[in-house]
Order: sequence, then C-alpha cells, then structure tokens
Amino acid sequence: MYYQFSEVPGLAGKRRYVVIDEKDNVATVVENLRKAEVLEVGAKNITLLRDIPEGHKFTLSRIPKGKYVVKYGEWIGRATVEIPAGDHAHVHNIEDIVDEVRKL
Amino acid sequence: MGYRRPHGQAGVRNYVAVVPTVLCSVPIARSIAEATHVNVFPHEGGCGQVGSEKEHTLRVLEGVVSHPNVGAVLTVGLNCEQIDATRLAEAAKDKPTRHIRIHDVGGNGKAVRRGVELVGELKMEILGMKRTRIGVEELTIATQCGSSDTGSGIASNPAVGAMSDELIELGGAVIIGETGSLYGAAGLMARRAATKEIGDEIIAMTDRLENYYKRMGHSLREGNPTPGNIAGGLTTLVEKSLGGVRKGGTTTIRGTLGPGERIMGKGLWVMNTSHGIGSCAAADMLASGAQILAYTTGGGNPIGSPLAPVVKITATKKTVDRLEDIIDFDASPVLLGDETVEECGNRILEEIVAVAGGKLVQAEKTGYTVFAIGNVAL
Repeated sequence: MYYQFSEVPGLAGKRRYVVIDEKDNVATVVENLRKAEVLEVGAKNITLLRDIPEGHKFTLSRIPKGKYVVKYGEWIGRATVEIPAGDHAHVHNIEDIVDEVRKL
Repeated sequence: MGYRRPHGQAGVRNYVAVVPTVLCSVPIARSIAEATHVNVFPHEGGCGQVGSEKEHTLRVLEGVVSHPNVGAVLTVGLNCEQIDATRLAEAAKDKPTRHIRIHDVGGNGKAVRRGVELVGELKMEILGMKRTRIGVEELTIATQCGSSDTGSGIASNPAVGAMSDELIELGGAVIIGETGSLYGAAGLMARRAATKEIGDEIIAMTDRLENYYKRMGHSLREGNPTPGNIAGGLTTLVEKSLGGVRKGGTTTIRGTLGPGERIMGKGLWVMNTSHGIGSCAAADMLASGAQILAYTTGGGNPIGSPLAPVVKITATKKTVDRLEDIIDFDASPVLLGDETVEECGNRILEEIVAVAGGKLVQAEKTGYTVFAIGNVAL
C-alpha cells in the first residue's frame, strides 16, 4: 500500500498529512494546517492557499473544472470550479458522482 | 484454540444463550440471564410479522442458537407467538437445549425460577467441554465500523482490510456488510466480484434499500455524508463509502449473503444487512456464523455482542487514551506514520487469534452488550 506521509512530524508528534494512493490528487491532513504553509510533497513544494482543518483535504495539483477528484486511487467527486494546487478541497468546490460510479 | 461443535464448526466461546422467541418474553429471558450471568438476546420480533420480516427474525434467531460460539440454549416463549419454537430448537442441532413457555409454567415468577434452574442444568452439561486446537482458516471475521472519523477511512479500516487479506490468504473468511455504507462504493465492489451475477446483486441490494427510502419520499443520500462527516472533512457519499469498504481488503468477492444468512464458503463475502445499522447489522453478520467481529471506531463506539467477542479498533490516539474500557486495539501508529497498514493488519490478526484463544475483549470484561434484529429485510 502506498501511503505517503509528510517527511517532518507535526508539532503534536503527528504526521501532518497523508496521500493514500499514488494516483491521488488530494491529500488528507492529520493536524490543522495554516494558510501560507509550504509543504514538501514528493518532489514539489505546495503552498497552502487556506487553513486546512484536521481531516480535510487539500489539492496536490490544479484540478480543472469538471475533472475528477481522486482519493484512495478512485474518483470521489468532480470539481465544480477550477481548484488550484494547495486549496481546500471540500463541498464548496466538489460535487458527488454517486450515480456515475454505482454502475458495474 | 476453540470449541469443536458436533457438526464440525469451530467456536471461540462456549456461551449459554437465553433466547426469547418473541418480544413478549424478553423481560423474563433478561431476568433469567441476569440471575445466572449468561447471555441474553432481546429483540422486538417473533409475532405480528409477515413475509421477509418474519423470515428474517427467524433466520437471525436460528443463527444464534446454531452459532458455534454458543454451547447450550434456553429458549423462552410465551405460547401464542408466531415463531416456530420447534423449528428454532431444531436449529440448535445436537447442542444441549431447554425450552420454557410462560403460560405453561404458570406465570412470570415461575418462568424465571424455572429458567434459572434450567440454565443451571445447561451449565453443568457444557462444563466438561474443553478448548481444543482450531485452525486460523476456520475463522470467519465480520467487519463493521461506527462512530467513524477521519482515521477510520485512512487508517483503521485499511488496517482491518490488510488483516482481511491476510486471513483470506490463510484460508479464512471475511464478511463486509452495512448496505447503506456500501451504496456509494457499490460499483467498485461489483467490479471486484468473482462473477457478473454477484456484482449485479451487490448493486441490486443497494438499489432495494434506496427504493425503500424512495417509497417514503426520501433518499439515502439525504443523510449522507452526515453534517458530522462534512465537518470532519468527508466531502461526498462516494468518499465515505470508499473509506468504509476498505475493511474488506482487496481480494475477489466470492459471494453475497441475505440479512443473517449462513456463510457457506471462504474468502470475502458481502452481506446485505439491509436497513439495519449498528447492532442490527452486527446481529445479521454474526448470525451467519462469524466467530468474531472486528469493529473500527474513531470516536469510540461502546458496542459489544452476546454472540461473539467484538474487537474494537481505533486509529485515533485521543480515543485510545480517553476510552480505556471501550477500546481493544490501538491502530494510531498508522495515522502517526510509525507503522505501515500491513504491519498493523498483521497485529490485528494476532489480536484476533489471541481473542479466539480466550483473551477477553473490553465488552466481555465490562459485560455491556447490545443485540437487536432489524425489522426491515429487503
């Protein structure tokens, strides 16, 4: 299993975010992260555009409007607006795709 | 190490089960069980039910009396109920059983006194049963989650999934249920099925549940993800479902089961637990013959079952620290990045083997159990 964690443990001794699958374009944070923080994700640096609360997701790359948001290596929703890298990815910019993925 | 039952099944406990045949006899069954410190199975069915609901109640109760963790059975009836007490007793096969009817013995007080005597006899009859060697491949593990948080989807559920993969590799079986939770991942699960028919049924069982809500003018989607899920960072129903189904691991799905239906094979099985959540879904999956329930919980759900040890697993360190008498297993090293998912899955399997060998889970130590039979079985 892939599971890429941040290299530097967070203040509480916890890792700061997790990327579950290498195909994912979002990471889940495991402690509150602040706007303007710069995170090293793989080979690139990502600057957070907003505060990201614990349990929430931020984008690892730009997701154009209408493209899929990928977590667990699977589509979890579709971007309703263009989402830049480092932005908070949640209900305000992602729609559910449940009917699409429920087919065999 | 477990108990070998007459028909070859392997149990991990040797419970005396006090089973009311009908909701009317529940208080008497409860009094008998409390006085004798044995397990009771309260429910609200057994009379006034029709069709699939009636069959479902009977199927779950048959699953209880024939369960490999149950060594002896006392059924407690009224006398005028719908449940066929003879059929129920027959399901216990060669186990020691007794039956009382409140009308026959002359009322509540006499029924409790007689029940206590009969449980005493049953205890004596199974006293000599010794634990014997059973193989890990004889285990069927039911999986469930509740009071979920972020750590459930990204750490404890995948860790249980790694356990599932390992157990199946060793020849065991795993059940994943909770139809409402499967809904958003039904397509993904269907594509993992061994045959197209199994895949079609996975989608169909979730359709039946959604149609049930539609007939009432509602949708499963209204409540999902919940406000708490959204506040916690879950964005879509698909995301929630994908996190949930990770408990089943990554192997091919071998078949589907109806609510409470007996499992007859190895590998990964999907049970339609229908409308039932929480203890109802747990009862359905355990009634299939699963000997242990692996239960992931972020916030710390207190569930325990009178039918099987429930191993409660959390990846949330705060929950481990605060809810000592609820949590059995600390999967937080995965969330902290100190342990891989596979290593944690391996530890969970070791814990399950220890529990199978007699190690008590928190719910057994504290005696808090929940049992309920869902009244909708689609």
